Amino acid sequence: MARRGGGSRHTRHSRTRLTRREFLAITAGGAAGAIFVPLATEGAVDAAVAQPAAARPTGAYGPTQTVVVVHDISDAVSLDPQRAYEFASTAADRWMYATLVRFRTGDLTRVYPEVAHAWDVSKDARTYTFRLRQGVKFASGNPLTAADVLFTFQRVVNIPKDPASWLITQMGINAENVDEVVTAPDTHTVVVALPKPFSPGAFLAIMANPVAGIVDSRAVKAHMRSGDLGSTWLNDHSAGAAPYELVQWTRLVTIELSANPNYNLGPAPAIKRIVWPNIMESTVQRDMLLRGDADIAEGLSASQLAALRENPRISIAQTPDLSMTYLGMDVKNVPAFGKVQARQAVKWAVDYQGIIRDLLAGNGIPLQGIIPKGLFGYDASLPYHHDPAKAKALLGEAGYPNGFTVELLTSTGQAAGGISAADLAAKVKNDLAAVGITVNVRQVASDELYSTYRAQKAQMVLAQWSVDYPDPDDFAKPFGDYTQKSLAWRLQWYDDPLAKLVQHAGILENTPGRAVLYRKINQIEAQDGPFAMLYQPMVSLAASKRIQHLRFDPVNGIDFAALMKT
Amino acid sequence: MSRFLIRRGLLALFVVFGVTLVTFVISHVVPADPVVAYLGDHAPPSLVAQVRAQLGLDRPLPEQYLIYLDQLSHGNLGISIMDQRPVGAL
Repeated sequence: MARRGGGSRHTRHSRTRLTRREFLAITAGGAAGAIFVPLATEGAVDAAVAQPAAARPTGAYGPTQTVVVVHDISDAVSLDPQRAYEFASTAADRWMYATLVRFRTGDLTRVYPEVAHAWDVSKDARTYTFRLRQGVKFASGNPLTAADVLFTFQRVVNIPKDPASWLITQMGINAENVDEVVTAPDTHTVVVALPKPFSPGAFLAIMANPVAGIVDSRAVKAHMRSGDLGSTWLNDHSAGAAPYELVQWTRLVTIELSANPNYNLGPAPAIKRIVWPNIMESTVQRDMLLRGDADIAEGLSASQLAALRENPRISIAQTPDLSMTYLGMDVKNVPAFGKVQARQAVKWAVDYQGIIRDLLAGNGIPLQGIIPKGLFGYDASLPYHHDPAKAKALLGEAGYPNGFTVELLTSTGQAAGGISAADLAAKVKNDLAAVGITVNVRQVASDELYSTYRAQKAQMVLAQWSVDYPDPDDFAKPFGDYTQKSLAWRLQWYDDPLAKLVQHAGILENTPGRAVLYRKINQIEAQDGPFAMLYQPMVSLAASKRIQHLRFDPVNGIDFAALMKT
Repeated sequence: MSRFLIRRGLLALFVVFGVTLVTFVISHVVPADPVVAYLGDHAPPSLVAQVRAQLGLDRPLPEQYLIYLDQLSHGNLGISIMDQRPVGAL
């Protein structure tokens, strides 16, 4: 879920200005002796450590122990791990809350022990028994026991209006049954007995997600307010067992973590302080990086990255994101798209290479299957290429020799890979015009785009989909199983045999048999599906050369525990 | 003079009423669904329906308006769904 990079899934609303209170906080922060650190857009961040009065321990950490990552963090709604569902909040929570299991940076094919040192899966793949390590401590010094894991599950299903809760509730765990489903036979054993079959790979992957980040039940219970289960308190305090703890979150200004002195799940990290100032403009991000005020920039555009490649003081690191940018065709709202030949015509009409080479400047790679590179079930084959003649012939077969007209909905913001959605839509419009399909591009705010799309009222959309948890089922379901009421359903494409196939593949473990099923699913999608996959974006970081051992992946984000700075 | 004040007072009441009505209507005619905007692209329809009910946005518009007026008269502007803070504190 905590994928980073150019995608806009979590960028639900772009905020262009600060509230009055925040503006006052920034401008008056130092003078008032408040805890606000004026990081906005200028001034050396390292210098800002030396703030008055508030006497945070972080002041003790020098520049080589501090990493400043510039990104747009305005999407953060809550830092409570059980309800965090945005880039910025999940990226921070991952470093404050330990989970039963976790993925190692760079290896998203299996989970490794974290708080649980071992686990058993029952034959029917519905009962999971986790054995917890002895002696694990929260940042408060409280011991981590099975009671904390139970409390964590109870929070997810009981917090009202929780955008992340579906990750857990989709497995059949809810407020009514959580006490029977998740139990603790002793202080260091947790048993999860799922009420219905669910993919074991997906289950363990979700256990590695911040939504399952284990909270210190004693600390949180002491700060619960009428029905909030401590959620409000967790916006300004952390209560986890991971290497870092929260220093402060000032909405739209900064998120700051410092090393957890009681961390005992691994070696103490060299980096003692992580600061994410909210920098929404990519040009400002780049300038801060070049001035040395930031160590890592996460949101640079494709063209800015291309220009920085020449800079000897900057390194660019890239990895394929677990996401894709696609065209969706509604098979009912547009009669032509009801014909498979017309859908194929669109797939032959797109100039994929042109998009990747000219628009993305290399900040994306080809992808035509429904499972991105980096996951089990990925299919590297590219059945379609730019062939306008073939597209025209297929349109003739579909009964539309003179083409047709369609409205393409796209967002006013960014497309994945650091390019503007408008530029990409213009390219698609040109490519489709060349085969006789007239595209009227309608740019709307992403909120409106998704409202229309989810209501099955779109004709054609240009959109992105990205990982929630690294299992192929997380992609096959939305793209293939219409009963999930996700992407296939939104485009009114109801394929029952495919839905059954997806459901069957979902509950298997990563065996060769499962790979065969995903190959089949990919083939059906390529042949018949209402999706024209355009590309898989890259996650690209630009970093100062002072940063060493920069490792990251699209699920874990930057591995701060491995990072060094000179 | 007092008649003038009473008249202006009554008029102001109407103005305030009108303003609340206009604000309320505007928030409901914008094309974006606030629940979808809050939950993002991935949330399943079941969660959308659940949150819609928790926010009271599944009730008839006149009822929602009356709730809004009632809360407003108690000085309660509600909680921002975008950052979970009381709107009055923003």
